[in-house]
Amino acid sequence: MTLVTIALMGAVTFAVRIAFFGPLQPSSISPRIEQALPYVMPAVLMAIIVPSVLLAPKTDGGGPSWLTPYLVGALVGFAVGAVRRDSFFLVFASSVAAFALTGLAL
Amino acid sequence: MTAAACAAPAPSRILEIRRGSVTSIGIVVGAVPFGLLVGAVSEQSGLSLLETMLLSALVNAGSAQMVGIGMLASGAAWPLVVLTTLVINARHVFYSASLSPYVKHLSPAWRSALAFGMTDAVYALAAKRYREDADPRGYQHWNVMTASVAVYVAWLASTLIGWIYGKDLSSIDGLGLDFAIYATYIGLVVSCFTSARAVAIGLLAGALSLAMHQLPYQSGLFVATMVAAVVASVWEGKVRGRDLDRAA
Repeated sequence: MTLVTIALMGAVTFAVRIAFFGPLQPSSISPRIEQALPYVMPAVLMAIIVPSVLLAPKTDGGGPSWLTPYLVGALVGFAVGAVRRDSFFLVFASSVAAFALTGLAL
Repeated sequence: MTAAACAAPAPSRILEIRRGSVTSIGIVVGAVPFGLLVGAVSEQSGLSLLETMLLSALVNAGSAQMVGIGMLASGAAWPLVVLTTLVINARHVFYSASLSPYVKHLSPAWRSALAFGMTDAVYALAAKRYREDADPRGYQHWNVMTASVAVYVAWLASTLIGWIYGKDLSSIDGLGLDFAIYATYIGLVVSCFTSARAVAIGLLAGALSLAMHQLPYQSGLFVATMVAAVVASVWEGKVRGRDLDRAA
């Protein structure tokens, strides 16, 4: 029974992923939804990033409890991104470096 | 040189595959600790190796699997498990809608394969690539497929290792390896902050998601995205209307 449930879990996941790749025609997307599409990616990513970073586990070290490597890494990433928006690797690398250094320092 | 060769757009298929493998490094590094965790939790919850691997192979969605493992292990009714999976993964409808203009010329097999591998991280890479280059003659789908396969293989392998070494991996959560995935998301999200409106919608979604993070089954993420998308649609409609007025 568990195996059937797992197969159904896979089926519903695939169904939502393929919904507009064929079964539903893009032309059936209303203008209202179409206007929102460019904002889906910033909305989803920020909805994942913000709670994950702000609710990250606290460090045991001496710094203030809100100052986690997650927060520092994210702030550095956004700061670099504000200057060099399209340099994916620069943003990624500086964010990870800030995370790692803060982890060592705290 | 033939006419077809003249019409062939740059960059080539090989270049797209190479780019896809390079950009997927971050999400692969981010997926591995999560896969180990899913495997380890699954083993400790009493799921068999077959059940665990089928979850990763068929569902291929970390947060849905995490919740699903708990429900399966506690013997929840199967319709509830399936419905919960649907709720957690409902955000993928947005991904499918936003990428549909770029994949409609591809064969059904290609579209199915791309849809199957469209995790959050792969979607983010795909959206960035198609925003840079929306030319339907291009090979961007090879870029997306490369990242998708790389993440899928890493996901299956890390689930397997997580299940086998479940008991020894209980400290993996504290290492902070999962930050690689957030750094990837930050790198991708700043590239779509092309207007003050996009930043505002992003901040709104982030704040709503934070406020609703305690809602069950990760539904806060879905609701936050939904509300932000509705606000974006209304806002965009008003701006477009104003532009039309000005033009008239």
